[in-house]
Amino acid sequence: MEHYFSIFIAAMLINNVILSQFLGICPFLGVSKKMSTAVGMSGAVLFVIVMSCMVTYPVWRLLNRFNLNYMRTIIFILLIATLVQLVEIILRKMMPSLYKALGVYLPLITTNCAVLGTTIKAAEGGFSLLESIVYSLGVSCGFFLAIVIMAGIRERLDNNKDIPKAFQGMPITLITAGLMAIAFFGFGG
Amino acid sequence: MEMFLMAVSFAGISGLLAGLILGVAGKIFYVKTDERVEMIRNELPGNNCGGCGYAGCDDYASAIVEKSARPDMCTAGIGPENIENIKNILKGKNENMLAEKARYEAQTMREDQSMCKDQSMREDQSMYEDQSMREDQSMREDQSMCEDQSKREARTIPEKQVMYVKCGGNCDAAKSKYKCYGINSCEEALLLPNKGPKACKFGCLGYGSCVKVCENDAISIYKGLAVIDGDKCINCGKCRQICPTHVIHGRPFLKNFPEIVCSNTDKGKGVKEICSRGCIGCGICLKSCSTQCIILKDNLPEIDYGKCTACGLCLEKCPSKCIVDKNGLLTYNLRRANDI
Repeated sequence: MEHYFSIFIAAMLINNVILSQFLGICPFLGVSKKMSTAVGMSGAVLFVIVMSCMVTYPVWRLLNRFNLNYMRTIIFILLIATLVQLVEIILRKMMPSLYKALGVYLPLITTNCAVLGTTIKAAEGGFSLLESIVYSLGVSCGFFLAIVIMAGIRERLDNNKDIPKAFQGMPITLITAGLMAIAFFGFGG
Repeated sequence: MEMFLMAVSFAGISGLLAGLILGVAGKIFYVKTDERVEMIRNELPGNNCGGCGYAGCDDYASAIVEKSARPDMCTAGIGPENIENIKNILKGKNENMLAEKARYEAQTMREDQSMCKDQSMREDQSMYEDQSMREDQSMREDQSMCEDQSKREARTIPEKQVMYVKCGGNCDAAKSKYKCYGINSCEEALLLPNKGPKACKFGCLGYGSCVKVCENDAISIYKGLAVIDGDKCINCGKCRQICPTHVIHGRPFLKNFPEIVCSNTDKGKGVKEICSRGCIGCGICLKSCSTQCIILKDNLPEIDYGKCTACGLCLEKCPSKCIVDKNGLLTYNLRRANDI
């Protein structure tokens, strides 16, 4: 139990997917303008990361057996894209309400490097199935944490008129992201 | 060589499998969509403001096609030519579907009428027969029905409006009864004693509930008063809906029409005590108006924007300066920029 807990915490805080591995910067900067969209996006990311970790695990085993480890990137991209498409098609038919909630974000996630990076790290870390599920949960919680903190800060920044004109908008957001990364660096000890 | 073949075949097979699965799933879970929805969607502004009452432009476009929603409900950035295009898209379908829509319209009209009748508590069997006869007739003459319908729609195309805050009581002008801290929204402020710290119960509370719902950043709070930038406002009406004191109103766009920026219906003396910018109901604007388009109602002037020529006499004469125009608002904003 302690083992799983440490995997979870390490993935969420110490090796935070956005702020220390620099994966998934695009949604981090693009979808963090409003709290509601940030929460929707991270919900969709959680869903997709956990699902794709479960799907890529047996495929990784198969690749290992045939000594095809170097093929992991292309095969995983294929798998994740198919999975997201499949989930989208099924949701649209079976659960229209969930489709409406996640619909905008699902295509964004299809080729997201955070998803691919998580599956590859889980595979290379030599995790068992349960371990990789816990790892992916940790990663997506870390994503949630970072993007929601960012959205909260940006909502406040938008109302701040004291920011010099040259720094308004994206520059101050990037500076904020850098400061957040330094703060999260502290978790590494 | 073996390694190479292995890699290629692995990638190829998994690609094939993925394609196969997706193809089969697409067939099994096929959801029929109408290409007209996409076409209508292209006519709409696409800022998903929700002013039409639907969840967004996509939702509204599908509602036009599937639920026969009126094509003129979009309040933001849609011109008469867009509405005409939408109608043409709807007409572009075959005769069969045209008749179906006409029947649906006739049905909804009948429902409307029967609802009206319920309200007036009159039950008349012959009316129903009359209506069903009319419905049959309308099915036969669906073409003329559609013309009628388009006429009806043409009449109801809304004029482009812009929102304004009907209160001028910023923290310089309006008196406060007490100070309070930690209030985040107007709804919370309304729960405080005396319905908020401001002495005036009718005015803008200034806690920015409207700022939060505005998608276009058209509203800002300046000196404890919401100010709407008329150039940015797209008239989605969200601020009007959320405002707990109902102090946000719409007026026709285009002209520099004067706006009355006070909602206090009390008598002059009571208003003067609590706000230096409040309307005291003196009626000087009525007398000065060149077109007699102002009437006094509940101690407040009301402007008939159909008759108003925006001559500006009323705002010159107003003793408490509670009538402003768009330019006045602009100088207001200018002053604000200089302040910072």
